[in-house]
Amino acid sequence: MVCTNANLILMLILSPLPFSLAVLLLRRSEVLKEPLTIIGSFIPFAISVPVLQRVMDEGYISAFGNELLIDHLSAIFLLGISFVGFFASIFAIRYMRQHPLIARVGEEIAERRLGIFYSLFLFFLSTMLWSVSTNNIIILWVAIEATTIASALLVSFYWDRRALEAGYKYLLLLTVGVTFSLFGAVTIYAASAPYIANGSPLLFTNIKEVISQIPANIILLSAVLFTMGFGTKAGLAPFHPWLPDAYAEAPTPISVILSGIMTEMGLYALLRTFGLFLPAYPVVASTLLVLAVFSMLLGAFLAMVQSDLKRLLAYSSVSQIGYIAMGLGVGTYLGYYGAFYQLISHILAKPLLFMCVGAIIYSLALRNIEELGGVGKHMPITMACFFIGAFSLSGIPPLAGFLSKLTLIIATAQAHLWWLLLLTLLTSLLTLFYAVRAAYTVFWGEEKSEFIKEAKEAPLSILFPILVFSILTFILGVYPQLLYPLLNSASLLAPFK
Amino acid sequence: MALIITSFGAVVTRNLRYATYIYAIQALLLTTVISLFATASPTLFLWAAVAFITKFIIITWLLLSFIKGMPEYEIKAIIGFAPSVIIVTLIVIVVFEITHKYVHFLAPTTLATEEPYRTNVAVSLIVFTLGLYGILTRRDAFKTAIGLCLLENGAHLSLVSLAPGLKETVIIGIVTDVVLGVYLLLFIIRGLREVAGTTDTYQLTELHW
Repeated sequence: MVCTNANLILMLILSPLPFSLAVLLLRRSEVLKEPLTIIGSFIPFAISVPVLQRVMDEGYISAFGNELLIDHLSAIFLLGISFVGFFASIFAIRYMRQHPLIARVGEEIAERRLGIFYSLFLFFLSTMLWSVSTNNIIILWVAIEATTIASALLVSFYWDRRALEAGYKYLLLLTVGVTFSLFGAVTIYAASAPYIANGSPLLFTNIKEVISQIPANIILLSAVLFTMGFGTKAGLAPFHPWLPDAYAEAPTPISVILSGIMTEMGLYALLRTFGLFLPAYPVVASTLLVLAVFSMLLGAFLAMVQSDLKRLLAYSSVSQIGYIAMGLGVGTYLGYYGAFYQLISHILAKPLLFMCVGAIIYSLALRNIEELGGVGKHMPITMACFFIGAFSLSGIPPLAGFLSKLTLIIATAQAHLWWLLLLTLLTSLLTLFYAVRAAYTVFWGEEKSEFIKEAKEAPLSILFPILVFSILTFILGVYPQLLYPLLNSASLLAPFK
Repeated sequence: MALIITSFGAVVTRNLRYATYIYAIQALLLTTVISLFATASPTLFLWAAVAFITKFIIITWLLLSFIKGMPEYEIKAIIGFAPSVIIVTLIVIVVFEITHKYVHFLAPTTLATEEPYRTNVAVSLIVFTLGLYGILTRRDAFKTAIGLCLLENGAHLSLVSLAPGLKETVIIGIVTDVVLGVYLLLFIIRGLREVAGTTDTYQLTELHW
């Protein structure tokens, strides 16, 4: 029996939900929560593969009168969400049971809270899958806001002062920021409605057809509103202040998802909405370029002064998201190709680094660079994987990050944006400096205390996702042609200057 | 005008219970305004019903439940009453002038450039801006939540002029997000109060650069 597109897309989006409910109901069970979570996150991963195949064959798949639509661009994000979600759930199993949470609240309450954690985790996954599958401009806003709501309690999960402070900032700043993009979505919907005779004026595919008839001032206004709204979600500077706190204070499996895919949801929404304007109004891309450069530099400079490993990685994300936005802002085929490549290399490198830090926290309950040193002797696998992630982030060959950054640099050169090329190279040097310095101090530096001697490798369920991400970072650096069909199709789909 | 006065009142009133009551009055006014517009666009009756249930009943109930056991007055704000009067008056004049003078630049439809829709856009932007003002100038986290509610009311009101024909599913999606967002924000603020012993955002200094 052939599964219809509608069934396939619905299964993809909704499959984590019954498991989320089951985990919530069975939250007192000591044995069922984790297996249900792993199955609930594996199913979307398994479905995303035939979805990708179908998108590659047919160009796009849609359902319910194009309300849900998956094209090559959505497919990249779907694969990223389901892949990171699945491995983050495996990582979480042992990691979440080790944390001082149990010592603080007692085993019974911790057990129930873990049930809520996994339930929200799966719900969060579902909202992200929904975000990248919708073709409706206002439902995109609803889904993006739903990802914030679903993850707010996950950010505050440890329920101590720092986690609550981070959760408060996260929810307030993101909700306020994203509300601006609601205005943008409504403005575009209202402006395009009179020109759309057949079909819904809410659908991106219909709006695109009439975008050239919308006055330039309305386009400009919407672009500003989308930049403020979805730019906040993407963590682009200067809309980023929620990001370091949330990444640092959330449990590490959630940091993995936030850094690997959730912030990229904001970029996805920006790309979808800017994609409407760019063919007719290329000037809009310049706004993105300015924010991108500011993010790249500010993120890198602030990462250099961090002593907390998770905050360092968080600021590094601001910088790396800037790279992706830069590629989109350059607006050429190669710019888009580099941006999508950078997106995938970031989806691999940043969760990898967060998981390595998680392994250190699991082993030593430390994450401050100044308190660590000489850990490499006791955790050689974690060290090797951390260096792979750090080198990829810095653009060192033969890793995925090297080729993605090289593509971006060539794109800027082709576009004769020499100033941008210089700033990109400068940011790469800064990245190399802070990433390698952190890796060197933590793994090779002098042992700061006797306590470090007790460090040992994390268990296999923690190391396994780390190894998978490391191997993929290497493979995609050596065989970039593996990604070519998907990245090429997504780049050709993007609007060119 | 009543919507602007209630926004100002909800932001500057230091007594938390009274501030919540003022917010509730604004939610009722909002429902009434949408109902009046619904006589021209009947789909807006659903908007009015949804606004009544979510903003007047649910959110007011959430706010009132939250302040049980809280001190009667908010923590002193960054900007006091007198300067607030001046700033808010300036905000009202500037936003009103801009939306009237440059309405053709801002309004995406012809309908939104005509009265009373044009004034409605101006009022909704003022309510939105006052919500933002509340978030930025109040030290008490509870009052920032009220600021968020005002900001959402402004967004809700603007949709009446900009997109009166919006589909029901979309409307329900938007308000569900708003209600859940406010609930979770209050839940986290309650956690902060229990753990840190304060709702003073000036004391949330554990995390910085």
